Amino acid sequence: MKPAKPPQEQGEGLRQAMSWLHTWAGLVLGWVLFAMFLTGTLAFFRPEITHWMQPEAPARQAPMPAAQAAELAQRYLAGHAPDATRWFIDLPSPREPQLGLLYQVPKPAPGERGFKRVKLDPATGQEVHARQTRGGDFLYRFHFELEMGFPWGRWLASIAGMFMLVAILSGIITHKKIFKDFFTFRPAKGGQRAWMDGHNVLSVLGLPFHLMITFSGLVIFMAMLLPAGISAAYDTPRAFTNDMFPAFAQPKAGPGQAPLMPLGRFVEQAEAQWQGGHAGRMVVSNPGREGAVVSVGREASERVSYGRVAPSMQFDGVNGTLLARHDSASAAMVTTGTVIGLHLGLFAEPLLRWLYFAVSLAGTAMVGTGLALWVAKRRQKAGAAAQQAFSLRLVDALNAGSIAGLCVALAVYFWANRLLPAELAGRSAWETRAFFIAWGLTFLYAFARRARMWPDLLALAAGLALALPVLNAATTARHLGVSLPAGDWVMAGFDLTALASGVLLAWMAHKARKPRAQPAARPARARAAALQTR
Amino acid sequence: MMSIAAFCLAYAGFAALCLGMDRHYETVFDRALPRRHRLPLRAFGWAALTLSLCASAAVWGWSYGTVEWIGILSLAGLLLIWFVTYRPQAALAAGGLCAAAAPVLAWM
Repeated sequence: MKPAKPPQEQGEGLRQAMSWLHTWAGLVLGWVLFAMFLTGTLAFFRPEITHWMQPEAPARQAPMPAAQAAELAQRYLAGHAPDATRWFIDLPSPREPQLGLLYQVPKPAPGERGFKRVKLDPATGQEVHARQTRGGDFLYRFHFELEMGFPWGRWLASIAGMFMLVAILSGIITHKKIFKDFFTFRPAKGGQRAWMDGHNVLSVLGLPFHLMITFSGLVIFMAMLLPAGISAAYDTPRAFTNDMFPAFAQPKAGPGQAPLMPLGRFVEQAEAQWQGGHAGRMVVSNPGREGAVVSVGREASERVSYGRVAPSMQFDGVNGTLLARHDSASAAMVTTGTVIGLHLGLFAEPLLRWLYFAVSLAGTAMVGTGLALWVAKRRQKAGAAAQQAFSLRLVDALNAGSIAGLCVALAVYFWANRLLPAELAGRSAWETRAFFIAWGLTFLYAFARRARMWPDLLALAAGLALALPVLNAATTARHLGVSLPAGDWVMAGFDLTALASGVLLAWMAHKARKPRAQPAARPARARAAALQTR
Repeated sequence: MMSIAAFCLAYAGFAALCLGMDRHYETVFDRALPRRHRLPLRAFGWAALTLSLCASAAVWGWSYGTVEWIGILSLAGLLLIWFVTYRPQAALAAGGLCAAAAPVLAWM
């Protein structure tokens, strides 16, 4: 006869099952998640990074009034793209004071893209001629597309996100003493214990953010991941997107030519109806033809709940009547909008954006410490005999390549931006190529020199990051000596952040160099400790 | 100033909660946590965290303020833990300092 198990043991059973799940769900996609976390963290400063990477572009200025900017855009587009099927106009905002124009070329020459992108300086009305770069957009897109073809990267990122959600929830269940160990970090104990403490502290303190960012990341791809509801309610996916994003619906052009009204008045009309809201993006369909439609969208950063679908108004471009008004005010739209808005963080003012950045870095360190913990735990358990076990060596090298190696690759990306000649053909592609080549080489190094990989790679990343402001001073006239007195906080902020990251990485490299007993354990612990200071 | 007060309250609250735990009380005072200290410390901790939320809401409004508050909590907590690990006395003394500074900052 089997005695009934006391309830406590059943609890242990669940906990152990969850611990197993946490360990393996975390490990399998941990490397991808680390890269997603770190690039996503940087992507909170996407326009600022782009600005740093185009030092030729004019310094930030107070944005031009939207109506005036819209007419400037209209003058340019009517001259350069009169027969485009659509114009997209990003009106100046405090974070992006340039006019961003994008137009669809009806018959692109073979080998050319159907869309052309131009930036105008509102002060002069001239095109901004800056070096070709993907800037912060590369980090932003890598964060959810991993530089893989559509839709594979998005799927991989989504699957990683699901594993993350599983890892967070199973981690909460596994963590026995959330409250008792709330403030506990014991680096002096070394090895598994120290890693575990660091991992716990980073996870628990950032838990609201980690849960929010993981869940909302999945909500962003809801339509891709759970399409059944859409196919039940709509005849075609196109009908859904037209309904969801009315600004992008493509109306039919009429047969004849018809002059487009001045765009400024649409902006004024829309802003008057929003009572103080600002216009953010305009889409002009069939400009210069009958059936022209002008869509004015509100600035998405004005409310959290706008997410990706800010309120918009559609006007007849020829006679100026209001055709439709979308306020996205239904409960479901506000809910998804808020969840997505929280993820994108566009609404956040500078202080909150830095908090996002700091806690997101803690999340990055959470993934990093988790990966290192996997190795430290097994190493400790197996003792000296298993130091050479293949699985440990493999995971440790992959950890070094994906954690320290990514830091090197990111620094190389910024270095390439300054070192590649401005007129090089395919320049922006070479920047990203430099990123991936550098990353690949760090993996090779990690496998070739296991004993030295952590301190060496971290020191390399530190050196590259620390030297970035120097390189900037050597190659541009907008270095710290100029940007700080001028109060140019975008340029100065980047340089100072590079210095701070360099110091952090140097400290991690220093910690990694110390005793040989826990080779992998040191760097990420140092990172964990360092990140707690942020 | 009110935003700094929100941060100080969060830090002070966490410091009090930390001190209200046996392990951390022992490292600071080298004796067991007496029962008559436990409750006031914890009550103060929770009250300070609540006040921190109120301060945050006073600056940014309830919806934006709550998000900001969660960020402030995470940052204050991580800072405290890092500090308490290496300099426990100083870290918790800083908590007391923050508690004293918060009302002054809030009035400024």
